[in-house]
Amino acid sequence: MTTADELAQRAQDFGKYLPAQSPLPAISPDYSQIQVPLMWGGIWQVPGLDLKLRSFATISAQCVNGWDFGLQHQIKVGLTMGMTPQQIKGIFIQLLFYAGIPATVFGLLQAQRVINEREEWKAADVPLETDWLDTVEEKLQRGREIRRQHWGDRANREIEGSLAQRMVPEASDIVDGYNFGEVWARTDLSPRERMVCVLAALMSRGQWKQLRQYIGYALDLGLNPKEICQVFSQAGWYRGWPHVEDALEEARAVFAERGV
Amino acid sequence: MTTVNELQQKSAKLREFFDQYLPYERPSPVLADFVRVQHELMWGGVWLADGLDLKLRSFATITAQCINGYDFGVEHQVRTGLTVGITSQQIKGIFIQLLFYAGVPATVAGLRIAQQVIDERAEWKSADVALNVAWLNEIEDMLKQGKTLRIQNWGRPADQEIENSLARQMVPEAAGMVDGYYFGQVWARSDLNPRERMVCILAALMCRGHLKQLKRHVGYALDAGLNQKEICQVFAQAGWYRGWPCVEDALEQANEVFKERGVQGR
Repeated sequence: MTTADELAQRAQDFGKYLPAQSPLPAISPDYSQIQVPLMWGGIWQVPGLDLKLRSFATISAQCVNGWDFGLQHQIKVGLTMGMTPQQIKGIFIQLLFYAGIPATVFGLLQAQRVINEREEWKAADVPLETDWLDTVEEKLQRGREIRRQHWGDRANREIEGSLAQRMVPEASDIVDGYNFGEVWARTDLSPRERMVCVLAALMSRGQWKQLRQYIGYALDLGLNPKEICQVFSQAGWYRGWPHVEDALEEARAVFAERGV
Repeated sequence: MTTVNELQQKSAKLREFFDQYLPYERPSPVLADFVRVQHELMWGGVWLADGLDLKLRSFATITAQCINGYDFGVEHQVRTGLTVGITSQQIKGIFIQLLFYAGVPATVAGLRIAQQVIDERAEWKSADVALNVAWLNEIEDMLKQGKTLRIQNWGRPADQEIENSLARQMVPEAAGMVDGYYFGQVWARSDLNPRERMVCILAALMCRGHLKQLKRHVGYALDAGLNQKEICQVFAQAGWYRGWPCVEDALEQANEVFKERGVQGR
């Protein structure tokens, strides 16, 4: 049996990750009475997904939410958990392809503001060494190879047969070339971390069919069903709990198809 | 036949009432056309349609604005809500309820903005007293209390649907805690009544486009004692603030439920 006292205790142990005093207890003590044990003591600490991956999911959901205070707070939590400034920026570069330009610009601006708050974060904020390819064809080629490696041939066929590839092929070549051939090739985030960001973003925006596709790719990549479900409950707590139910419906369908 | 003249008159009457508190943008050459449409269509039309009282309209609108996420819009509607007689604690209650439908930052932003508006006037401030809440300690007890309240408000089939949710099956630890706090603590609060909570839920699910869950909750709303007309009016009201196509999608769900239950839409 879990008690509220236990959850509150766990939330307190979690305090080292929480950078700022919240004004909320003064505004609504009842909100805090619910939120502190339930979120920090509860949802963040359910077994099955490690804290950093939870942080990736949460930052992605907050980026889609678009509230500056919420995103800043979660960037601080991420840095406190040991993400590097380059990883934080890497999340928003990844989300360029899943949440749109302004979400990425907004995220990068918030990130820089938070990184500049502390000397150690600032010192670690060095650009990545990236080998940029010269032609879109090369990018597409490398992207195809990366997808094949991480997700397999089925994913390659699906992505190469996408409606965007058929109906807006010029734009789609460039977008896919940069996304899969450049961004997925970067070393700031691991493929698992990227996948968590993508799952959280698609769930938060309610793109259910594409979410279903990506749940399959997440399995191909080696995330297990429990981890995938936990990404949804984590990000969903920040985006709105009904998103969890909708996302799990897609997950259940994919798990059933794949027999996992 | 409704004439524009009638709408203008209705609108003027309502605005006279709100003018005590609400700082209105006066028509400027730039905004004149927008303001005219707003006054006639929104204040004279949507807000004063039959079938849903002003306070419930305000609950629906605050919810839609909270999900929209524009600070000025939430602020304006919180002020409107306080003006139509929603108490300071009820306003905060809306955002606590929405924690479970719109996510953490929507609630945090809502509470912060609510506090700013409440602090604007002595009468709102003095009504801003914390609720007396009996907090349970065991999650199990919260779940039990939640079940009792669900059966009371929505009936047994609804209770079964909630207990068999995919979240309960696939993320049981988190879902147990969420359902415990939500149904066992939030629904037990005395700040909002079940009808008011239901209006917030319908508006939130419509605004985020959770149509399957919306369909289930249209059924629960009937169970909780809202009538068909009220449910449709919640969608028209909130949809005006979220985007009119949301209304059409929501009404499609409502229509199916009304047919299944053998009740008329209008």
